[in-house]
Amino acid sequence: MSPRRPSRYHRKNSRTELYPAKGRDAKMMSQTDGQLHMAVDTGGTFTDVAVRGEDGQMSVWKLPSTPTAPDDAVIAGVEGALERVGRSPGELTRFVHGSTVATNTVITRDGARVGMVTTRGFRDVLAIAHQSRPAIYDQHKRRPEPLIPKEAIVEASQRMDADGAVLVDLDEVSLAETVKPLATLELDVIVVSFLNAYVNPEHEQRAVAVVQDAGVASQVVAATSISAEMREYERSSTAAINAYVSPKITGYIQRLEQGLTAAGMKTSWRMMQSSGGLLSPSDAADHPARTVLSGLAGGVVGAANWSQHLGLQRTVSFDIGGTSTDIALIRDGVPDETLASEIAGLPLKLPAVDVHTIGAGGGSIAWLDPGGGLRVGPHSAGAEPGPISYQRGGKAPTVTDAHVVLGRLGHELLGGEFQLDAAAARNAMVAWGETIGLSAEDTAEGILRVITATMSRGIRKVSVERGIDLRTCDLMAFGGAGPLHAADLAQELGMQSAVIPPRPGIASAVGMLDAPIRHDYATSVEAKTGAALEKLQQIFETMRARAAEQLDDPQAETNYDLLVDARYIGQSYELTVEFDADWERQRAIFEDMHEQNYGFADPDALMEIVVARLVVTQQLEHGALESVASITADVTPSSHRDVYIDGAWRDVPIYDRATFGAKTVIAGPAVIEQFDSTIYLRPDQMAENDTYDFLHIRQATEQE
Amino acid sequence: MRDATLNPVELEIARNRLESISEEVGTALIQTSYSPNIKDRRDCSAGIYGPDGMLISQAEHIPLHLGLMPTLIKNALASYGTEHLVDGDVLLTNNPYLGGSHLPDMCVITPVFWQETLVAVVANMAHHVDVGGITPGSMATHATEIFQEGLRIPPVKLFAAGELRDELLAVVLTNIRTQDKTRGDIMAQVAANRLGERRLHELLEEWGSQRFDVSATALVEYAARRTRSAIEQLPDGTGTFTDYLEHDGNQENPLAITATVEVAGDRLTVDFSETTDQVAGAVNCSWAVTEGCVAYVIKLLTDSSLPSNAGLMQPIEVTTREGSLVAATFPAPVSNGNIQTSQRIVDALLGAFQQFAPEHVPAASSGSMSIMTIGGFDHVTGQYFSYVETYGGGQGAMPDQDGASAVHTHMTNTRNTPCEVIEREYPLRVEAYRIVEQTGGTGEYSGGDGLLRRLTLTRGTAQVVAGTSRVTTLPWGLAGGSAGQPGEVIRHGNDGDETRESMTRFDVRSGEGITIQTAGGGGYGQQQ
Repeated sequence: MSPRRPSRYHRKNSRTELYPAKGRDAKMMSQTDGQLHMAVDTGGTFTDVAVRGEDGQMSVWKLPSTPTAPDDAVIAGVEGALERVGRSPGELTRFVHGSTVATNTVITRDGARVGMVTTRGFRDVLAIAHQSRPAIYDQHKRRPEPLIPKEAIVEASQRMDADGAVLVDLDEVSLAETVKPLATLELDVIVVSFLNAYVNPEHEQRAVAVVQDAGVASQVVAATSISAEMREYERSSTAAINAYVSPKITGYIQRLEQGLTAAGMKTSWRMMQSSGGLLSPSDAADHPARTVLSGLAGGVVGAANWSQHLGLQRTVSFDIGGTSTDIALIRDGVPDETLASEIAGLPLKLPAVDVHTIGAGGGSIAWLDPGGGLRVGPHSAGAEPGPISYQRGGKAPTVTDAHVVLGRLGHELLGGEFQLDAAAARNAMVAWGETIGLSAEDTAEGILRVITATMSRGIRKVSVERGIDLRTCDLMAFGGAGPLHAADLAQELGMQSAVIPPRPGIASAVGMLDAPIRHDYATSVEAKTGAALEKLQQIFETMRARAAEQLDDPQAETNYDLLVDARYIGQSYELTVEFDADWERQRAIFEDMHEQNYGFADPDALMEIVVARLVVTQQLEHGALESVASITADVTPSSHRDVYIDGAWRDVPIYDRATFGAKTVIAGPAVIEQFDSTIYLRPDQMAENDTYDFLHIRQATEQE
Repeated sequence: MRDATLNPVELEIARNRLESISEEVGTALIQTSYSPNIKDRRDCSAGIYGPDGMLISQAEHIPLHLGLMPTLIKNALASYGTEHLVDGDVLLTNNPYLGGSHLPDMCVITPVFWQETLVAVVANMAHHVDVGGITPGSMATHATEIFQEGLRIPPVKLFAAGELRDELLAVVLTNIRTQDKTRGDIMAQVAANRLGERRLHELLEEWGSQRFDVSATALVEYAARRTRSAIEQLPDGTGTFTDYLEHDGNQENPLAITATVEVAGDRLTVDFSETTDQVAGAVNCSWAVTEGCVAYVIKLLTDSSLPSNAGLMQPIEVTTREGSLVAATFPAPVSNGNIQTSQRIVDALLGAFQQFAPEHVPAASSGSMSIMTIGGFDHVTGQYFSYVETYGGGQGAMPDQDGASAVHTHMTNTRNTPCEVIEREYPLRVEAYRIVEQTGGTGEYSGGDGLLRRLTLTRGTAQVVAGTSRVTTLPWGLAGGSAGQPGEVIRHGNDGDETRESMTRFDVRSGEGITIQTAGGGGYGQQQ
């Protein structure tokens, strides 16, 4: 998992910039009684702000992030953005926030001092990990160091078997002695993680009390209170991550809460989770590990909502940033989820949108390998020094520079805020091209062809892993650079269409505006026959009761998804499927899913259920989408420029996307510019704008 | 052959497209296979070939497969005769002497036709749960000839012109303990190849067969250039080193593996002719495994990203003596050649390179894939059970870095089975699973520590088969670093503890158990 990608755009100065609601004045009409929604998404380089008024009017912002105190930029974004649309924080009726504090704490190893108590004989569970090495041919690549050092781990005398029966009772007296020396380590948190505690947490809970009484750390947590699922390494790792980020997140949320209150905000607010759902700040402080992969989720949730709105059955969501690209699959408007995600190589057994990240982005550097192949990435110029055309000291040709040399990108970005040095990019491309025997244009076009091949390979891999045929899918491209590559990718992969959402460069913030409130509960079970189903229903009832306590607004319309993790006995992986109180029907549901995912079902094998899951969601009312029905379909190019396409320079029309109305149709080749992104359209393609400002790119022949 | 000149862009696009297809075939196989061997341990690989069996691109998931896929397909096609192939045929084989590794590795080969001409071949290989023989799992350590290891299948048509040959499949499955799983896995292999065939057809539609041929040749030449450039990074010189495998499967019996290595400019020659004769035990290696070890070592020592196709070995000449431990011939048993011998071949190669390229070579690692099988009848569930796992150990220290602890090294890289899963699914209790501190060799950089797993049978009776190595020899250190501590196998009987040989087999009753401790890695350099 990579850190939150820096945006590929860089600004010369730190002034905030308002991009006005399309086709309207920068100032929104004053609405005192309507809805006013806001999302603030913190990224590595920029903090993105989206404000949505009653009719779906959207205003978006980018302001520089403040990594040492990320809440500063959040508060500045809230106050500044609202002031410019003539509103105030007190008027907000919804506020959602995507934070990278937890993510960055793990990546930069800047978290709490954590200790651990384990079952005797198992203190190395975190260090052994999966016993595999991360790279099969690179001996220098190591597994990540555990978040809890060896000296902070002690063993307790206790043991349970796989059924939760006590084999050796917890020796509380000796445990109290054993943990005493940990006092010298000045630990912030101690995690108690025992073998088989997922079946019976009693020893863990008793041990927590003992360690608390010993007073050797400010906080003591049972691992099963964070994740109560089988597999000791994944469970301990999840609890360790949670403990590691906990003090930072708690402090951050407190500061932000104070800042928002001071700014006058009255509405309760929520934070984005890795699962694409929202969590209250207090729940986020209790379960900070649930926010660790939230940076990936905002865009995917948006893409899922938009797919639902557009009636797309299968969508590949494609989010291109500066150093990497995130690929996710959305079926019938629902993103694929996983329980086997990772942060910085450490497993995290909590629900997350299933995102596949590849090391290819706008900043990816082109180089020649010793066999004479032109390679692009995975090294990236990143935010610093960035591409050559950013004039920040970058010397190596990047994907962005190739776009500049070919004329796909103009001489400025972010509505003129940011200048691109085309001459510098071209000079570098000429010089580098000479060394490989190609013209500057063919070198630049080659870089784009190679990055298309690399990205296509990533998408193909995901499609095979998830058992779908790309020819039946649509591509939803966003991130600052997504729309520059969408046309080539959709064509290369033979996809139905490429869809560019209205604000592709700020899709994460826009996307999280309509994320649901979500709570996840999981209980390990052992059900091998229908006889166990009654107990399973009790377990669901218990989880429901917990949910009722936790919901802020239990009266609101609430959706309870009852799910189970099932598998054929002996399989080492599970499938999460819908729960059914009838064993035969439960089995049929499982087999159907197994067939869909893996191409076969096994009627002779026995099925077992190992986890019961409850997903509780409250869908916030979707804000209206901004209509462009009132804008005329006719458009004229704002200018023309030379763009190099398939080996020749062509005079290509440049459009301003803000002028596009419903049913605006553009024939390729064309470049369509907007504040937060640039769209490229191939000569063999058409683009059509719909009523809600989604641009649909298709093969020209299909439309004629 | 046509002159294969592609510019740097075309070359990279061809590489991505063709590697992407092998990757997709491998992914589809993992996704749709039944057994944990393939799905979790990923003991499988997939490749795209020219019509003559020249490997164009490969996706291997463990290094062991590096040497298998380039040779087996070529030989299988040659022995069957491509003139006998038609569209819709699928060949099946597991013959180690043709270039496979051991009988559980079954290979499915699908010829791809375009405009009625054979233009390419898609193949994949996977380690099956069982192929018959004297022990469940077909990995007996005590076999003395290949007939005891299971069913051997020469290249035969599993599908003829699109029709499944049911009778042939019935013969195969009748000789196998896990008929249903094996059938499922073989069909997953066939289906994965079919995906590859479809992708190749899409590519041929787009490129035409001429560009396909040119691209294939160019990619092989490209890989050869990459290997040559990698070999050039090594200093010229020659070295000979002998290392010993301590056990032949039936008894302690030091077996000498001798590698002579010479680097001259951009060429590498490796000679194993001095290696001892093959033995009547399951530790013999097919020469394809040996070649895979050479390919692995060159990637390890120079450039880990060298592409895996026919070009990889072009600048490398490997000589083996037929009938030796590292080039076994009929009827030598070979099932554990992968587990034990391949790791010692790597050690012998590293020792030889070390003599003239010391700054590139790490100290010896734990030296075995360390396999444990515990099988028996569980009267509570009324089912046979079979626990199989391989264990990591200490990694040898590098000239610039400590070795990692409790990690799979060299020719394998599979994940462990969680203790909680072991206890839930088998009548076994994990008494301890830990890193054994201070077992790595010392030095300026220390070797990684070994791993210990202690298991107790909780009910009934079972048979234990364990195979590790470096119990009577030590993983050597380099440049003044000390050797890693040896491994250990202990039987915990109701009559007391007993130290066993590195490859061992015994029965256990409820309450009895076994400890296996793997060796630490060697250290590097004088301790400061």
